[in-house]
Amino acid sequence: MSDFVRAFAFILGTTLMYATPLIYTAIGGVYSENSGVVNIGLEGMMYVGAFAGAAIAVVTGNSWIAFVGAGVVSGLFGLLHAIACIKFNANQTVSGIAINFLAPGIALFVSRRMFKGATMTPSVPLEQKLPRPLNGMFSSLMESNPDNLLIESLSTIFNQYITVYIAFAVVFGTWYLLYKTRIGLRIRAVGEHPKAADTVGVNVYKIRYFCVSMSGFLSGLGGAALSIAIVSNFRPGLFQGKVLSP
Amino acid sequence: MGNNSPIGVFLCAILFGGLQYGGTKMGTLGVPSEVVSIVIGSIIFLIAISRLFKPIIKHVNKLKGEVVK
Repeated sequence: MSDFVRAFAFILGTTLMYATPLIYTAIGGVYSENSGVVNIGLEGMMYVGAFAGAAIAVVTGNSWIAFVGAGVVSGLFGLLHAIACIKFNANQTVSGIAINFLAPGIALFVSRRMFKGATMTPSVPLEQKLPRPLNGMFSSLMESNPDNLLIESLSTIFNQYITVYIAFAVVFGTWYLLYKTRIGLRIRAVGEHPKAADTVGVNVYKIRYFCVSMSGFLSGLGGAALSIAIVSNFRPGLFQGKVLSP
Repeated sequence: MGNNSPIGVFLCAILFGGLQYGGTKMGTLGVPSEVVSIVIGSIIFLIAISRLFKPIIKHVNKLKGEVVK
């Protein structure tokens, strides 16, 4: 029985851990789709985010700068998609596919330039990875009552990297922004009927630029959550079997 | 791609096939093979933003003295 509980807790904990990058990226997709721009390039942006996170973490040694920097770098790719789709009225699917080609190429190319021809970044030291905020609480609880199965399984499930908690905060924040605030109403109006939104004085272009860049930013965070929290480096096959692509 | 014409699609496929195969061969000369995916990505992206080139094409046509649409 206790083996079963341990295995079940382990499965739940690992599921939470591997769901995190998908949560970030999909929330990015929510922003983009709600403002009426199809964003197929999310996966490429995630790839760039994973690389940027690992590279910045190795160079600066600070995982928080790396986490935000990854978001900013793939936010720039989101901006590229936004400029193509909004300013040049490009086919959104074609532009997204172009970004899916472009982003991994650029990530691997820069990686070869930065790390002497290696497509794999050096690993981030364990103490420089993103912290597990509840680690102290759970380890002291485990020490004070060693044979308690409940505490052990709870620790397996909830003793996660901080990216997991940020992901859930982002989910809640997005829900609040989209459904409870004025700007959220505008975003949804722009997505539903851009001409009507324009008629009543909403700046459609501004809102779309914001939303598509935001989706790039969030998918960058997702990539960084994979590369500097779950594993500790970036390598070309990092996404195989972890995201939706084959 | 290929502007929706069968011949254009054929030429395009030849181009991308050559790029894909040539890219792996380029690796032996010390050129990173990711350059190929950057090139393909840039081509597709520039096709996506082809509106950027409309003014240039118009200008060239004017210089040629042809009738501008």
